Amino acid sequence: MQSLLPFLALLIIALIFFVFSGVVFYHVGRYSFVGDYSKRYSTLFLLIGAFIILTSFVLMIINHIAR
Amino acid sequence: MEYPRYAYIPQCVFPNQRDSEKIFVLTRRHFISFVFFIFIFFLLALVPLALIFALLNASTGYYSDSSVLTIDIMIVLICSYYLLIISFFITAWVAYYYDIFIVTDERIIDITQKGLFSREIYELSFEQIEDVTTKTRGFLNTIFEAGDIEIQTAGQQRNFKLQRVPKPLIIAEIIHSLTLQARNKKSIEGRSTEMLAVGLLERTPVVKGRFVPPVMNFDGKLSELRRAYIERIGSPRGFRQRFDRWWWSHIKRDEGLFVNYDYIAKQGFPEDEKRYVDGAK
Repeated sequence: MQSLLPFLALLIIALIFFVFSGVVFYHVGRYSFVGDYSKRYSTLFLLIGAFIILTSFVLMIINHIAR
Repeated sequence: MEYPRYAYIPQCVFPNQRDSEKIFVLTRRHFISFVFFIFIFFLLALVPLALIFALLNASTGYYSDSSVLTIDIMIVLICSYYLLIISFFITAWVAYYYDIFIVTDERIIDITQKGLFSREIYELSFEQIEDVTTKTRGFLNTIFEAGDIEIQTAGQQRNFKLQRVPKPLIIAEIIHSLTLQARNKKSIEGRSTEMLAVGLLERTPVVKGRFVPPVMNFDGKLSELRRAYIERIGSPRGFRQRFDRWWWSHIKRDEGLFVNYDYIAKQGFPEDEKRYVDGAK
């Protein structure tokens, strides 16, 4: 059970991050101008965040398998 | 009537823009004001990497001595650290990117974004302007042509202070020219800048030429300019046409829409475009 706690923590962190991304997307959707780059930059932000979370998850699994 | 997808081109560039309002300047703070954040971001991003490198060094034997739980906790901490710094970065970027300064033929609009949840919009008509001052200080500002503009207003209106805008001399000249015209009671429709650079988009001055980017809307109806542009510029020649083409393709890409130039050139442009102002029917 104790070894599952980091996974749970990662899940909570991921949830907080996606809620924050939702706020950013709402903001960008509301205030972006014609022809600006904000939508693609915020998508990039979301993708980088998702990549970090996924990499951490994979690393944790590898860590468990390796021991 | 349902509009075909190719014809969707927003007419309105910023919220509350009036139908016939011409935009002369649309710019953000100069990019060098954001370079500091990028530098800090990369510096902060390197910290955990250096830490990991030090800990996982073969001579310390940190990985083999630590328990599974310790390594898991370390991964979670590093993950949260990186998510935190990219969140701070995007917040700083939003504050930079949504700080916009617009000069139209009717007014000056200063949109100030502070963080994600604070946004202030100031408007000033040319009749209220008393004096325009530009200041360029420092090595970077001089090299990259950035500077501050201070617009002093009559009465109890707040003074406008724009920090680190690109090409401050061009902007100040445009404001000065429009202020003089407003003082001389020139009608809003007749106002234009009396100089070679008729406007500034981001850091690019737009010079007088045969075709004006539709977003500038200088010489009459926007729809006519659009049609003229689409029909005539099949293969762009020269800087100016390339700029126009770039501007159009820029809008097309950002909205995820398809503008078929050849089709429009053959079929003509649908008439009732006004319903698509700001994306609303």
